[in-house]
This record gives sequence, structure tokens and C-alpha cells, in this order.
Amino acid sequence: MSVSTITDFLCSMIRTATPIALGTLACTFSERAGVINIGIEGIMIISAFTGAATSFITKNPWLGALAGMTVGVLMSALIVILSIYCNGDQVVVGIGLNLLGPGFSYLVMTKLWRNRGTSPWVPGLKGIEIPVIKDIPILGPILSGHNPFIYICIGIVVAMHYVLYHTSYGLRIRSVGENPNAVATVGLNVYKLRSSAVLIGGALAGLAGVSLSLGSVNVFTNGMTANKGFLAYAANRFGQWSPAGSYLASILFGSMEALRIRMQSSGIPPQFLQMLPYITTLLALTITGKKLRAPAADGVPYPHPISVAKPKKIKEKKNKKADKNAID
Amino acid sequence: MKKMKKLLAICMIMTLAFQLFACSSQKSAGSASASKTASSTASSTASSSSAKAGKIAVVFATGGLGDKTYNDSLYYGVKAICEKQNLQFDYSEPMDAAEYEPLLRGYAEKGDYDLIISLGYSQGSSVDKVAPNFPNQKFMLIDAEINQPNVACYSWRENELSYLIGVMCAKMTKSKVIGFIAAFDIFNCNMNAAGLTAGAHSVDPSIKVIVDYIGSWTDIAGCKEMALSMHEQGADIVYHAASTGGLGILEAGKEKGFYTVGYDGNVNADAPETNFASAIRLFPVAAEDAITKALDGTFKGGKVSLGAKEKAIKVDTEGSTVKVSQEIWDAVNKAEEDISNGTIKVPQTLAEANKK
Amino acid sequence: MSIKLKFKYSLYSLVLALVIGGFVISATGGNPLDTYMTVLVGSFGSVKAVMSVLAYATPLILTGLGCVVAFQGGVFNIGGEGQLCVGGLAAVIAGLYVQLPWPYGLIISLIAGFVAGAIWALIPTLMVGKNLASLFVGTVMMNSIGVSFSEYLVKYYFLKPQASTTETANVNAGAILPRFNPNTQLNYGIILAVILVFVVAWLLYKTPAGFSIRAIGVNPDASMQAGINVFNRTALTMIISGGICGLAGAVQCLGIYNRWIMGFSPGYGWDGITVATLAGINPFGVLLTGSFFGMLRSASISMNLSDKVPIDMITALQGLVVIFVASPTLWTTFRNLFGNLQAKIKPAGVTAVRGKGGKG
Repeated sequence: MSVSTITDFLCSMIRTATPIALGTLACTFSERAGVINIGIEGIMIISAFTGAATSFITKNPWLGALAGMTVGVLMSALIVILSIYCNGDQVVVGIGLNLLGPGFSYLVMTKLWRNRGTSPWVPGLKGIEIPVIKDIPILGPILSGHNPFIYICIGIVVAMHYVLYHTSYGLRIRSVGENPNAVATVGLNVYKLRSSAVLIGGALAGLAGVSLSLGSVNVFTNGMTANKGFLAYAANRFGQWSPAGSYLASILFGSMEALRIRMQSSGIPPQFLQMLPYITTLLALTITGKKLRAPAADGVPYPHPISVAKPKKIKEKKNKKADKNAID
Repeated sequence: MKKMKKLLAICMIMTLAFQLFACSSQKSAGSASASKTASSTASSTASSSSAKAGKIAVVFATGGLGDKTYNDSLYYGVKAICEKQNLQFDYSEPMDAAEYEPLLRGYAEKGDYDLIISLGYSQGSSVDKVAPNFPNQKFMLIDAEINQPNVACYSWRENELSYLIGVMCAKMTKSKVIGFIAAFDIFNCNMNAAGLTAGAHSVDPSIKVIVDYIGSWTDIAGCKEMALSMHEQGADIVYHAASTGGLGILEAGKEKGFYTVGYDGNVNADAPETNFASAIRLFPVAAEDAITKALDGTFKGGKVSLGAKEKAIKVDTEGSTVKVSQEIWDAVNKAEEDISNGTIKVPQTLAEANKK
Repeated sequence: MSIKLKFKYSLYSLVLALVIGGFVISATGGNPLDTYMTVLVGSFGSVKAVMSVLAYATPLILTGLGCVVAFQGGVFNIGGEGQLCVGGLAAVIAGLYVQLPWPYGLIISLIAGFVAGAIWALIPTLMVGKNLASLFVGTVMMNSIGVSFSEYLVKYYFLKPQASTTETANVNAGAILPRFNPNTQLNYGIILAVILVFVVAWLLYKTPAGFSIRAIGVNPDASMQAGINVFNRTALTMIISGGICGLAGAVQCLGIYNRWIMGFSPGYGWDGITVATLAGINPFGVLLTGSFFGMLRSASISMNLSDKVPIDMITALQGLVVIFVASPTLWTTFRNLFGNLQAKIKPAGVTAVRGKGGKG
């Protein structure tokens, strides 16, 4: 095995892992605040489409990326409205997004390109050459020349780690995911904190979608996400709800995928190679899985007083009732 | 509570009324553009409503239109024929394999279609279920073979086409390694792999052909990764039989500057500097044959196998800027001739191809 | 919230979803009323249409039921797709090799389907079942493994001679799940599904095992303290849930295709999650939501044929229905908002009276 084989393998690994990693980070952030977002899949597909369509119309892929993220935020706003403020079931709303996303995408796609299969080529984001680093012999090809999403993704991992563990906002987000009642007693607004986390998660999920359509292949296809959203959801749990862990878990998926693509001459039936990433995860999970601990209030609703039936006229009472529901 | 009910009722009535208004104003614009009858959207609506000489329905494969290969080449082929012969052309893009049967049944039940074309090997079993119930309905089935008196099955000897590509690639390659990406480990895909291997080995037995399966018809990103990895392993030409996924190969070739070969549709213009040829199965030839026979009453069920002999395959380099020398063309044409007159028998399975 | 109120709110939500859907249809250049008429006629216009609705509903009811069991037991089993795939294959293999007259061959096949699905659900449970968060990830992984694994088995051991795709030969006549009418896909699987709904309901609500399953779903810690072996019960939940999903695969393979064919499931396992959650994790609710999704599914076919609206409208409509029906409290919120608004307009004294009036 030569050095270049290893470099190629590492590059391929990171390329494959990036969309999943972005989706995973989206899950991580909103689950840290106690809101399950299982609609990542749907958000990814609609953002991938919006990104491609915007890039197709404006000829500017960066605008496409922006549009994709915006749509991601809008989609997750539905979770904010329906789950956080109206106390709807988080999981069901997420599942609804998984239907809405592809539904709307293909609907508009049929209008725009007259088919529901594949879009025309769209302008995509070019790889970024980093001036000095690209000339370093071995490190150069690993670090330089990738599509921008790879760098953005790593940046987000670092930023999210900093925000979650080293800022007061991060502390609040984590507390809201562990014990919203305590946060409320201190006088902070649980709903706003949770909403902000979900919206940021939505933007990340949007970015994940855009990285699929504009980062690598510059085209949008029906079923492009291929359950990557669910994989991201799993990777988040596997990564222990931490940004670095999530990224590493996604990298594990990426490396297995890159490995399977490189094992064709081994004589193993292709079906077994296709199982490889999943079997590895399962085995890894058997070893590490016992320690997984979700944020205590992960997926636990904290009903907004406005959504509680028949409120009494005194405000304090409403809050108490909300607290009681949250404890239950 | 009662008040709430009333209020809600009023709200709903108002919204419905508004909606009605909204639709009626849009109706004129909407109905024309929403129509999925291809001939009417292509030509003016006025002519489409007037008398048509016949009606054709197509049920596409699940990858959907826009793939620039499989579905698209049949779509444009049938569309051109229908425009030429003044036929109405209806089609549907199924969301998944479970929809084939009801769609085929739906068209058959309408009873006024002269021919129902069903595309894709995975539709074979569905046609097999539907056709016996509608003995008077004519079906054309592409890429699968079943035994029904009212179904004409058209399939290609794809190995012959890939043999020609194999000859061409063997002459073009410098690294002596050719990559082939198949969608699934199935007979049709392996037939291509066998043809490619045999063709390449006929020129130079030392050439190595890497075959791999991506596991999807639509995974463009995966195909791109796979093409890149094949390039890393030394392949300087990558060829595919992965429908939409093949677009990823073009992208990989453009990015790293290695040669690619498209399949089923001419994609040379999408990557003119790296995609030097496209292997094309001439769907329009088959479709025209079936449609003409269906209209003039000479249609009969059975199996039709197409290949070099029937002039139903084509290696197309139009649109590419890569120079293909006359010597290569001579070799390809010679191989095509030898296949048609039976001098060369192209193996159908990888095992046979590798034995030689 | 009482069931009656919930039901009423669900109806409101349905109407709201349809109205919003109508606007979307208008915006994309269609006629909403026309579309809804197509859906209704396509679903209830004829006996055949109704039969086709039920045919689509059959696998959805079964996978939905499988998910209901798991969700009631607090396990987020989203491995339905893999269990379905493996279950279907096991049923077909039994149908190929067991030479028994109808209905004994069929019964053996169905049992094989159930067992295979159960085993497929049990594998991740045994590996990582002690921790529910990991078990969730495990079931996701088993989906892809199940699909590839059955493809491998068929490809290398059970491939039909001369097959152009990855499929097995047709099963013996004794193992076929007959159709009511050769012209529709509806088969006796629907009866099986309905019976299973009652069996599951009985199991969950009338037996001690069912009680302990539900207890764990509500509060695992308390159950553990009460002396229930949580891991055993989780395993039981997964066996039942996986088995039912496996049965769904068996029904599809034996009833519709008479064989295992690659890609026979367009995601019934995933749809089951939606069906179950929309039904409020109630076994009887699954009958309703399963049929509703079957109806939309059937409508999408008739739309595809009638050329009126892009079929993806149906998927979008499903999404709208799901998110609104999932939030019955939406209406409480509206009411409260409305109340607040009124309170702002009217003098404070009147508000109290109004608030009371709203209650009645």
C-alpha cells in the first residue's frame, strides 16, 4: 500500500462523511437543547433541491447554498411552531417534514425541469486550493483542494464545541436539554432557547443538503439523500451527543464507505461489501453502546402555556401546570 | 365550544370559497401547463385535441426522467415518433416498483391505447401479471423477457455493444486498466461487464478490467467516488451501466481528467473533453418498430433480440472533442462486422469472459 | 385531552391540511377541487377502487402495527424495512421448499416470515438492547444489512434460472396467498392484518405481558424498580414487533409477487413508523391511518394516469396531514390566542366571563 493510496482513501473518506457529518451536527445541536429532529432527511432533500434550483437560475452556487440553508431554517421553523409552541409530538412533526420535504421538492421540480428524476447540470462550488499548504508533499493533497463544505464542516465542529462548552449560551442550551424546569426557575426562556437551537440545527441540515447537490456532483436527483438523514440521526447518538463525537461517528461511516468502494478486487460478494459500514457500526456499538446517555430531557416536551387547554386567568398557574406536564 | 365550531365553520367556508375563486382564475393557465401529455406541451394545444392517429402510453423505469440515459433516450425517441406520426403520447414516472402493476393495469383498462410500452427489467413480472387479463391490449416490454402472446419483448445483446466499447477502450488506454461500474450484480449489468472484458482482451489480453457494483441506479455521488477510486487504482477509462448514477462518472472524469464512456444516451456534450464516446442502444429503432406494427396490425408477441446484426447499437462520439483516430474506428467497425456475421461470439457472463 | 376531543381536533387538522394543500395545488397550476375529486373517485369510485385502497393499506397496517408494539414498549424500532425484507425472503424460501397443500404450506410460510422478522429484530436487541439509545441505532443499521443480506442469499442460492433481475422462482401453489380478484392486488393478507390488529390489542391491553411492555414504555426506571426484567421485556417487544414486520414482507411476497423480488418494498418499513405515530400508537388507529395512507397511495396511481396533478402533491399532502394531525394542541393554542386577543379588546372584567363561556 503506497502513500498515495492512503491519501486517496482519507480524502474519499472525508468527502463521503461531510454531508452526513453536517446532518449529524444538526441533530446534535437541537437534541442538546432537548428537541428531537427526525426530519433531517426531509430538510436535506428540500435544501439540496433548493440549492440546485437557485444555482441553476442565478448561476451562482453560493446563492444556492444560502437559499438551501434558508429553506432548512424555514422547515425547522415548523418544528418550532408546532412542537415547541403548540406542543405537538416532536417525532411526528419530524416525520411529517420527511414527507413534506421530498413532496414539495419534486412538485416544484416537475414544474421547473418537467421531470421528477434528475435535474440538468447546475453550477457547483469548486474545490478550494489553500495557497501554501497545497505544496506540502503528503499533507497537501489531504488538506487542500476539497470542496468548501469540508472546511465549513470542520469549522462548524470547532465552533459548536466552543459554543456548547465554553459560552454561557451553550451552557443554557445544554441545561435546557437536561432540565428545562431548572432553567425556567432561573428565569430564562426555555422556548426561545430551544427554538434557537432547532433553527440553527435547521440551517446545518440545510447545509448538509446543499453539500449533496452542490458540493460534489452538481446535480439534483430524486432520492439523493438515500436515508443519509437517518444515518445522521444514528451517528449523533453514536457520537454521544457531542460535536466532536458526532463528527468522528460520521467519519466512521465515511471510512467504511470509502473502504467498500476500494475492496472490489478482494473477491468478496458486493452485497457483503455494501453491508460493511453497517456491520462495523453495529459491532462498534456493542462495545461502546452501553455508555450512551441521552440528554435527560431529550424529546421531552416543555409545553408552552399558550398550548395548554383551558388556561386559568392567572398567569403563574399556567406556568405551574406547564412545569407539571414537563415533569411527567 | 359551540361558538368555536361556528367560527371554524365560517373560516373554512371562507377559505374554500377563496380557493374556488383562486382556481377558477387559474384554470385557463393551469390546465394547459399541468397537462402531462407530452405532445400537447411540445406542440401547441390546439393541434393535440384534434384527431390523433393513435395513442401510445409509456411506463418508465423508477429512476425517472432527466437521467440523460435510459429513460430519457426512450422518452425522446417515442416523442419524436409520436410527433412524426401524429400520435398521442402519455406517460407516467412510477415512484417505485410497486406502482408498475397498477399503472400498466390503469392504461390497459382505458382500452384505447394502441401500445403500452413498459421500460425496464424490473417491470417484467408486472407485465406478466397484467397482460393475460387484457388479451387484446398490445404491450411492448423493453429489457425483460416473458412469454405472453400479446407482449413483444425487446432486449438488447448488450454484451455486443460493450464489446465494441471494450475494443475502443483497449486502444485508448495507456495504463492498461479499465474501470466498469455496474448498478447491481444482475444479469444485464454483468452482460455488459463480460462484453467489455472480452472486447478489451481481444485487443490486449494483459488489460485489467475492474468491475464493481454501486448498489443503486441513482447514486450519482457514490458513482463519482467509485470512479475516482478506480482512477486511483490506475484506470484511465471508466465505463458504466448504472443509469442516472453514470452522471457521477462524467463529473469525476472532468475533475481528475481521465476518460469516461457514457451509456444509453449521448452525454458527450456534458463532458466534451473527457467523455470520448457514448454507448447507445437505439431505443427509437425498437420503439418505432413496435409502434408501426401495433398501428398497422402486424404486431405479434414474442421475443426480439437486438444487437449489432440488427443495427440497433451505436458507438457515438459526436459532441466530444477527444480525437478518436481512424485506426480505432477501423477496429471497432471490424469488430461490429464480425459480431454481426457471427465470427465473434461475445460471452454473456463474466465467468466466460475471464476464462478466455 | 379526551379521545373524542382529540378525534375532533384531528378532523380539524385534516381539513386545515387539505385547505393548505389546496393552496399549494393552486400555486402549482392545478385545480384543488378537481384533485380531491380524483382522490375520492380513485379511492371510493368503484368496488375495484376500494379494493385497491385496501391492497395498499395491507402492508402499511402490518408494519404500522409492528411499530405500535415497539413504540408502546418504549423501543424506537425503525428497523421495519430490514425485518420486512428478511421476513419476505424467509416466507418465500419456505414456500419454495415446503411441499404442502394449501393452506398448510401458506401457514408454514407465514410462520417462517414471522420468525425471520423476529430474529432480525432480536439480533440488535441481543447485541445492544441493554441501552435503548443504542438499540435505536442498531435497528437502523439492521435495515441496510437486511436488504443487502437477502439480496446476497437470493443472488447466490435462490436465484431463478435465467432471471434478469435478482428474484426467486415462484413459490409452490400451496403457499400462495390468494387474491380476491385477479384484477386487483388485494389478497387475503388484509384479513390477516385485521385479525392481527385485534390480537395485538388483546395482547397489549389484556395480558400481563402486554401490561409490562406498556409499563416499560411509560417509565422504564419505575418498571425496573417494580421488579420487571426490562431487557427481557424489550426483547419480547422486539420479537413481536419484528415478527409482525416480517409478516408484512411475507404477505407482500406471497400475495402480490408470489416470489421475492429485489426492491419489492418501496419503504413500507419506514411508512409504518408514520402510520403508527399518526395513529397515536393505538392498534385500532392503525387500521384508520393505514387505510388513509393506502387511499392516498392509490390516488397517486390514478393521478399518474389521469395527468391532472403531479403525483408528488400526494407526498406533500401526506406531510401536511401528518404534521397537523400530530399537533392537536394546535387548536387549543388557536383558542387561547383568540381568547387573549379578545381579552385585549374587551375590558378586563368581561374576559373572565368569556373564558368560562369558552369552556362550555
